Amino acid sequence: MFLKKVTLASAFAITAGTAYAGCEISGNVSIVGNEFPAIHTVANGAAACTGGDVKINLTADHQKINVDGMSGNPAEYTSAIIANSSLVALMNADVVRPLNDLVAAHGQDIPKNQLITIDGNVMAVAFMANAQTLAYRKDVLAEIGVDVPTTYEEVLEAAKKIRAAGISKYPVGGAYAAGWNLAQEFTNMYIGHGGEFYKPGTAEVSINNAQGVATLNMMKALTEYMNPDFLTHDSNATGAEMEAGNVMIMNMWGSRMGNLMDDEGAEEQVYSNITVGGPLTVGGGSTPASTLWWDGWTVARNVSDEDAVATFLAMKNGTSPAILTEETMGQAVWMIDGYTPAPVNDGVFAAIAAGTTSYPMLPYHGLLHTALGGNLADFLLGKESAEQALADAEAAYTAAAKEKGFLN
Amino acid sequence: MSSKAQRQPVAITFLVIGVLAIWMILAAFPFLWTLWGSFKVEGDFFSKANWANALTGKLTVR
Amino acid sequence: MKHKSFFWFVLPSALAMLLFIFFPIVSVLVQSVYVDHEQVIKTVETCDLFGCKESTTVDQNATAALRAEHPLGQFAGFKTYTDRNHLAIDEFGENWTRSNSWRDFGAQMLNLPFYKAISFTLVFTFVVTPLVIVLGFVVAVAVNSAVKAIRGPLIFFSLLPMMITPLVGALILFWMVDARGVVGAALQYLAGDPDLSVKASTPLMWIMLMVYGVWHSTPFAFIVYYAGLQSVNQDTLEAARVDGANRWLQIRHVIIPHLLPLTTFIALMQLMDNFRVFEPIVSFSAEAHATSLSWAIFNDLGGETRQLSSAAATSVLTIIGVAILLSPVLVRTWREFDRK
Repeated sequence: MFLKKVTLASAFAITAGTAYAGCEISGNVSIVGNEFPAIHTVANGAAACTGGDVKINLTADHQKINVDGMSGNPAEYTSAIIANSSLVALMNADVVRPLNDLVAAHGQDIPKNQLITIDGNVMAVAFMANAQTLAYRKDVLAEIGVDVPTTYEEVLEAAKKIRAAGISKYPVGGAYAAGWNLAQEFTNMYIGHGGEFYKPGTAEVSINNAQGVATLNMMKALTEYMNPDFLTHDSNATGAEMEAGNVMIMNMWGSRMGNLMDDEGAEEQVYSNITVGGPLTVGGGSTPASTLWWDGWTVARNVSDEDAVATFLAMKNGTSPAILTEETMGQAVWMIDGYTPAPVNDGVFAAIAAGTTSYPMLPYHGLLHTALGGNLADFLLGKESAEQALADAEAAYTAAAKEKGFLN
Repeated sequence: MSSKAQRQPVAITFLVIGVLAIWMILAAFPFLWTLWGSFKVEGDFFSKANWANALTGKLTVR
Repeated sequence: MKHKSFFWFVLPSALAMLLFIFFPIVSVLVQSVYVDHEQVIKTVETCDLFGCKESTTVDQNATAALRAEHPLGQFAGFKTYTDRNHLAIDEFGENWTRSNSWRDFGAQMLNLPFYKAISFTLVFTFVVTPLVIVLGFVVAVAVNSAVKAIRGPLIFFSLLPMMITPLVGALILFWMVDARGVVGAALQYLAGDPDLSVKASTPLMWIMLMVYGVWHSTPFAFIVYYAGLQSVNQDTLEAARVDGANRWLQIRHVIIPHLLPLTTFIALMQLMDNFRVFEPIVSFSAEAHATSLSWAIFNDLGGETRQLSSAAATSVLTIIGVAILLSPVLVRTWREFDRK
């Protein structure tokens, strides 16, 4: 097994060099991005370009360093691989440059829908889509005789049956760790209930309403079936719980399904039965309780034009059809020509087909996300009412928005 | 040389040994536990079903 | 020492302190009285992988012009200090008039982020510091009484909790305390409650964080006291023994007074260090149960939109807090110095 992987990896590494040959750059490239398999593939594709220096820094803490890293002149990083929410932060700090002229000169063959355009300026080129959808153990659902859940209410029913049958005490999983993850789950569920985050046309928050309370109540109901430590479980921990055979149904990122469904880290009965489903709805609504995310690459503003061209060419190479091999095909939902979906990606495709909303790309939404992450735990711990928790989150957001100049 | 007057009473010796034993466990055990656990799989080391699994490592493949 | 030679002797350190301590504090102070310019927002059409729609974005040109004129931002005076995320003066008044009982008022105040953070920070500081001093002393006396041959290994293992990086040490305890870990499972067995989980309960989490604090800092007190014990005046000890003092009286009347200056030193260091508690909250993922001032600063800076003024204000409040905490000791030291 191990030997097979080594030979596969070395064969891939050798062929990779030859596959990308033909990318000539005459400047330096320095990439910063998140750390998961798909981004590694893209960065390696960019590094295969010859003629210039390509530096790569992939870390889970990329959001903490990318804005500052690109603020210097010249910037430390020439390209940041980011998700939609992070693009807002980069644009607010004005550290990324519009790519219109580079696209016109070198990128005419990039499909139009991959060009993220804001007010006529191409600010990023997207290459993969991601969303949180259902992941479940099909053998367990078969055992209790339940169809695949399509709504959160059905998830609760299935969980009750699994617990009653004695299969697992805490069958539901969710990345409910206080902070970013908890806020993300609230965002998904609130959108599923049809809620609007702000008063139309303004930056004034408005979540303390019927949909907000319904969202929190549904989240509380789900936590009844979760491991009591849910406020410390992020996506990694929740995935680990499923691989350990404790969690049977959960809401998980499409990009992590590959790790869950491979044959490492879990027993055979577990990993061969983990299946991806579509996004769930809630409260009888038709909008899925999930958000669509894209990952894309940008080019820094504070770099020389030579480095900008080199970066554009290198990143274009890193997200070209050439990077799609048998090994990399299943790493993400690649929005690249020649991509053939694998079963691990069914969830994200279902999410796109079901009309899932994109994550809000508003300049002030990051502040609301932080405010939610810090204030909803009290309700889930039973310390305060749903209205109080929402009011606290609103007050925290308002104070932050006033400080950042989005509100007066 | 130590005479009876200078030797500490037996009770004190036991007290000292007791305190040191407890403190050694508190200070060193977490690291030994981590070292031991680094060779085991999560299923074994954190098994609720049978805690002896952490020692024998049923699921851990050599 | 002559004043002139003292001056030259101290100059390098003084310069370093000026550069690395004084100027950064001034910078943080300045940052805390400014807020960002009002953002100019415009509605635009955004096209991404999934289609085009209307959305809002920051007007970069207008904002850039404002920033070029006033790079520091808008002068806000003490507005950041009094807003909800800090001293919350308005909310304080509201809660005072609105609440019916002290308990209610307390609960309302603890809902505010700064007061929540400072309540945990103060409890942590005032519980951990005395425990560290006492435990460190007990261990030092015990090790000093041990056979010389095993003292080496004893000292090594005693220092381990302090040597290992706080983040890693706290993570180790985090996993031990997990409901399925050694300590977590043992607690469940002892309490007879199979659902007991430290990570899910706020009081237990506070206790666990303080246990970590004591575990991590005891080696520091231990090594300082152990060094002090090596210099105990043997004649005085001999005299006490001859006078018929048993072990406990020897400790009380000879050893403890000898170690009193060291106790002041340890107390000072521990008060300062514990007030800055941060690593255990991150490693234990305990932010749902406990936050501290340092954690609040980290949280302000860690999001995608950095709240620099808020973090700066919290930093200044932390510095003031440390100064208040240390003032009794500093006043006493100054008086002693003055007397001489």
